[in-house]
Amino acid sequence: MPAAAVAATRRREPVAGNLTMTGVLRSEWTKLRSVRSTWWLLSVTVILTVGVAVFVSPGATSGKAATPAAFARSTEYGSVLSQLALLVLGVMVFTGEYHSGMIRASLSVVPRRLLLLWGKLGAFGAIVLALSLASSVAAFVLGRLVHHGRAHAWFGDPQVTRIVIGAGLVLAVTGIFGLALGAIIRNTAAGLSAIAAIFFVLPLLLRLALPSSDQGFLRLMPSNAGGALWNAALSPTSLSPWTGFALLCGYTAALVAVAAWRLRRGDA
Amino acid sequence: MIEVENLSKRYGDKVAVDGLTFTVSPGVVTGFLGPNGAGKSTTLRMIAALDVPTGGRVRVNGRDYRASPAPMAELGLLLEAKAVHPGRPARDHLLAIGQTAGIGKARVDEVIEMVGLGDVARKRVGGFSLGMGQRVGIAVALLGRPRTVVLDEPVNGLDPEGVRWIRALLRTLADEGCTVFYSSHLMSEMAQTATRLIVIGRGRLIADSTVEEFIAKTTATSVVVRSPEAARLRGLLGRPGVRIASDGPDLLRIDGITPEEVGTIASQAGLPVFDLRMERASLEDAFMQATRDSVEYGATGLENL
Repeated sequence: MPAAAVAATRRREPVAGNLTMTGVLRSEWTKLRSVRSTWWLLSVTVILTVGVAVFVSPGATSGKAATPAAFARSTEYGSVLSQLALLVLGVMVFTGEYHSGMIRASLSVVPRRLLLLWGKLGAFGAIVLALSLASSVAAFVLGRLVHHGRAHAWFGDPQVTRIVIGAGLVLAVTGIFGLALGAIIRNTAAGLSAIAAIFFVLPLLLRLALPSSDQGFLRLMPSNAGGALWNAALSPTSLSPWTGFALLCGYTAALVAVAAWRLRRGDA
Repeated sequence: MIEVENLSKRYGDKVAVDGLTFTVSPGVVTGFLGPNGAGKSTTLRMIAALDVPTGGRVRVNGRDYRASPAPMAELGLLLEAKAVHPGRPARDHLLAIGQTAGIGKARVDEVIEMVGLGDVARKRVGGFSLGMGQRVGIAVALLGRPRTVVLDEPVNGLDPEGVRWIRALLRTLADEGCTVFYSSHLMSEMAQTATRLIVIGRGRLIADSTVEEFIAKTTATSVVVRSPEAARLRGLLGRPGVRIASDGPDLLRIDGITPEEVGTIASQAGLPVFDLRMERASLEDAFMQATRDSVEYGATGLENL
């Protein structure tokens, strides 16, 4: 090996081109597709979203004829569970690299550090958006096929399209929320704890602790703000659909901004 | 070329690097030495723009590395072995790194063969030995065929064959005009491979010279002579600046004189000489001498073993 190996380095024509956004996007896609946990967590997302619609959702509307909107909403309940899988996947996009030390290899070839953040956001965001929308549509369509006796909901009925597409959009943005949080916290265990606190523990604790007159505050929690987008009926404890979604996007954008600031200024 | 100018790094109260200035030139292998905690890795991370200096600046091939349009063509870096997601196959790791600069599978496979990982390239890195992980890191550093190569402890964990390969690799890169800067704890390794040395201790520059100069400046070079007439010879050699010690009844160790002078004097006096040689300190001796006062984490002895 040594002679051949050394000879192989002799030709020193340049092989490395410029650092580009396209290159970083390709690199991040390679990183995502080449570890098993990505495929596991994406599978879990689809299976939970669609599976709940097929096997569980009619319980929510049984007994009486549901409105199309209420039926559509009931087929998307699985996304409440599957968002956990996407949050975990999102958090690990950055914390996985900090854990292994890979982040230093990554940043040493991408010294303009923000490119790495945009590349991860772009690659992860595109996959998660496509997958979330596909599974929320599949959940509704399959739920409708399996439970056709319950309601005659279809796209075009009042609110149905907003609820089905909305559930997918919220799922995708929640995944990106996780990515940004992971970029800030940099540690997998701490990142997952923060996710559990923000999305599950805190809303529950606040609901128990706050007097009912102050419950309006709960609609500002990220999970509830996002949930407003696929609500079937307006309730006093909920924001209007697009206001809620805009708030979730605002939280996510704020986290991305903090992540960018933190990535840019300190030591890797 | 790497230019380090008045570089400092402070972590809270702790000063890791303290006003370092040196230049690493292309075409020669330059070694980077210092005791544990001297600030070597911090300096290397600042060269690669991974750590932000508290003061001073670094230029790689004449410019701020962060401003390079094609970073992978400028700098190849090995910092830690196995800084790879353990579940990712080696080839995908290299591909992901290379793709940032438009490097494709052909070059990745070429480098994989070059570092001897052809048989395991599709296996997950988590199962690799230290030596194999080290080869992955070296492959990353060479991937973009960079003009400057910076390697932290490249021979760590390599078998003797791998060590010889690294030696040949570093020299070949330097011969081709690359800037080669590497650190090692193995003094014998450094003495064989490096031409120039940067030595630091407690974050400060101790030496910036060739290996020979460093040894010569730091330690005395003695002439050792063996003669049955050692006592008479000793009388003839005495003069200001020359120090003579007896290592045995017929052995003299003389500082401040060349072997040529000793041979000539002995021959003119008709004294028989059985052995006449220079005794040079090793790089390790010189290093211990030079860094004696800047050892951060020194063992205290073996009395309580």
